[in-house]
Amino acid sequence: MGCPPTRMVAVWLPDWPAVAAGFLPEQVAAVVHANRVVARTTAAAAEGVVIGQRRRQVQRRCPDIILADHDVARDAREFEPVVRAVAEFSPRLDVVEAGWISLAARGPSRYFGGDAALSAVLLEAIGGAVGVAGAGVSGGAGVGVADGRFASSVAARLSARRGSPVLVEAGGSAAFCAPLPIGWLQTLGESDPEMIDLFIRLGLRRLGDLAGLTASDVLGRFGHPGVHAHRLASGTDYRLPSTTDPSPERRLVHVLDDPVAQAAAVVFVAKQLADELAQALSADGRVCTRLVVQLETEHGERSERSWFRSAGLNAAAMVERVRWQLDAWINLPRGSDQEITGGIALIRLMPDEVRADIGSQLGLWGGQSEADRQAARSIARLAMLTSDEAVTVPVWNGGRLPADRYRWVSASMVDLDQRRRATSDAGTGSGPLGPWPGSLPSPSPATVFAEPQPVEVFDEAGQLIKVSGRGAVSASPAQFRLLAGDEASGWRRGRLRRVAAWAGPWPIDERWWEPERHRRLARFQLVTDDQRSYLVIAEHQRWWISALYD
Amino acid sequence: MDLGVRDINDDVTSERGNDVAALVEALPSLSPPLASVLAALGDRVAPVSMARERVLPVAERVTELFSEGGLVRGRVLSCRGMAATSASLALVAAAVAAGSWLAVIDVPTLGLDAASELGVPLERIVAIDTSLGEKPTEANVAERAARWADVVAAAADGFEVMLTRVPAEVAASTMRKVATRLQQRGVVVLLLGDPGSLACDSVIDTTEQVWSGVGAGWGHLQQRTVDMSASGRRVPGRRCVSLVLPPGAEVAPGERDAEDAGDNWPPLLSAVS
Repeated sequence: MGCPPTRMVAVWLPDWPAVAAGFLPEQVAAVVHANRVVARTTAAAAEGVVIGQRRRQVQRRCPDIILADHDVARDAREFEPVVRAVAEFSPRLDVVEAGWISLAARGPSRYFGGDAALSAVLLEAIGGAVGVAGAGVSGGAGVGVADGRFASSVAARLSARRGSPVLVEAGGSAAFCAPLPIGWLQTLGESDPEMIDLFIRLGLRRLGDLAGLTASDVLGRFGHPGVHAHRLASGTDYRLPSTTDPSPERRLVHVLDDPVAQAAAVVFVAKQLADELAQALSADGRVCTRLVVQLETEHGERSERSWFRSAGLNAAAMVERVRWQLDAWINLPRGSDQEITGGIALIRLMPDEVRADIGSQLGLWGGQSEADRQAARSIARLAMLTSDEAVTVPVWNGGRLPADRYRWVSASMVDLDQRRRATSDAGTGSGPLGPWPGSLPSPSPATVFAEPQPVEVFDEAGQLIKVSGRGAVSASPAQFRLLAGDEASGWRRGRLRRVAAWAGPWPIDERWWEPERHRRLARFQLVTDDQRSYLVIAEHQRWWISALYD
Repeated sequence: MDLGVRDINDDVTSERGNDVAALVEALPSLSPPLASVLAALGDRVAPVSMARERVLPVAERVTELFSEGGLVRGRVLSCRGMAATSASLALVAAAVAAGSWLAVIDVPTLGLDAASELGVPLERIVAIDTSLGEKPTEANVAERAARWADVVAAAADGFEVMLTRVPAEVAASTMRKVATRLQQRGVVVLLLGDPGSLACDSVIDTTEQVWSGVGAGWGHLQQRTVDMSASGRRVPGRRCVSLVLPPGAEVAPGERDAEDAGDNWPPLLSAVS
């Protein structure tokens, strides 16, 4: 299908996030993201820590493990020395992600006298560079040479396990891939787990099984993602027949009249460029898979990197890569060549490879509308006007009290596109993950106080009502009044309101295992005689209004 | 033949309507059902007139409140009364569900569960806090009011619906500028609390509500009937609608009658004292 795949070299450093976090191989340590392990050191692997495990499972297995949070920017920053070391061999290399580089094999391989010799010098150079980065690689770097990006990446990962370079001879990619389990497609992030699961259930357990099918059958049953998987399994390259080199006018340059020394300002300009580029490409129905970012300072220093992502780079991903590149450049050790000495004067984004946008079709109702784009622009502007923390979007949190159920998270921390997909199956009232036992049934209060308002609740005789530890109420609530002010300066009491109807108590005993966060309280709903409703809580023999049904 | 093509000078889209007209005229011997189908088609591809384009949709049960059939862009609505917040959410729900984004400015107490129950998709809500975490003091009152005006003006560019509280200290001249901007950008603004010096085009008042489901120590709040009325300088007369919140499982009329007849439901559970 299409042109024969190019011969590629892939470099893979396993568990790079753990290396970037500064852990030594003999330390028992892991990097976690969203409560799951994303990388671990050799020592931790020996203890049985597996990628994808939950934090608690890991802690149960090795209680003294050191855990660090995942930081993509740090990974990219620490990876820069390795990129520079590899760039000595071939200037045109693609950084797929931190820990994973691919480059065309032909030129350097001829120069060094064959793939084996090239692999050996590469490994040596990377070893030196990782030494510069101040940590040892946990399992040793892997280098793989094969036809096509996918086969070479698989070879590099196998090489990291085996400890020696894996070389696949020319034309042998299909045979190399055939006996491998089909899960590699998921490991390399090419296919989603659901499709791989389906393949396995259909009896396609090896890449060769999938490659044995006719491409048109796969297209008919699985659509474009299936064809993509089929193409990879048959050892053909990523580069689709529809891939074209974009015309030079797609290159976007921004010359800053006043060189900018703040990284944030440069990223802001890059964002505008990326938006423009992504929009221009998507107007043609295309998406950029390989982007070259060039940065130049007023003193003429340059930084050029090529970034590859088979799923395509959207505007946010482009900006992220500019930020990584800039970050890595700024953090170069003092005195090294190409050290940055002045403000950034020029930013150039060049789409090096584009293809027809087929993979990320969101379906008939999932596309991004003009209103979404406008809102995204406006959010960025509002964040500049106020602060990043002041512009927030709700994120489901879960809890029994209305104030606990959603958290407000800074809008700049959330990918609004992804979010839409994540929250679209949110049920009403019960949140995205089904009902939350112990929370009050619908309707929910429309006004929720983050800090409850103090109140006094009395019975008919004017006695303060008490709720016992077992949730028994001393008398029926008959009237209540709001309190203003604070304990020190004395309460100012509001007028008495009559209670026409009430319900409760619904006791909660939360987090009794954590002394600081332990809460024991009882909830009541009170309806006054003028039909206003309140959610009132009794805690520590004091009463509070937690929310209003207004 | 009346195709329902609206009389409009808007050149781009009216051509499409004319195409259909030409098509129909080119086929003189059409059977009546086909002609009516084409007429309906013509109606659907006809350009939407400017007045209707300037209306955001509202849920069917509150259309009664608006003579235009929806929220007219650029208008300011003040929500008052005992169910003001729920009423404002019920009004914007359909517009946000249809794709508009909702900016919630300085309403930190908004109950998101309630919003979700009333049909507002939470993924298109953005909250902006203009206080920046400062406590209100005598010294920063003017500064905060100015910041509120800036934020509202900036949000007008990207959001079609806004829910906000007006700080009392905004200068009248600033407020005029804000109002002009909101009008220009066609933002529908719903105000909670005192509108201050911001001129409101209509006032949505929730005067009466009746809760059901809760008694003397038993049950829980289930549903309420809210009487909403719209009045104001842009509303001819006074429009009223009686609304059941939250929507969905409506209590059957017979059941509600029984309940109105008196508290003769047997208590299922009662408090132990």
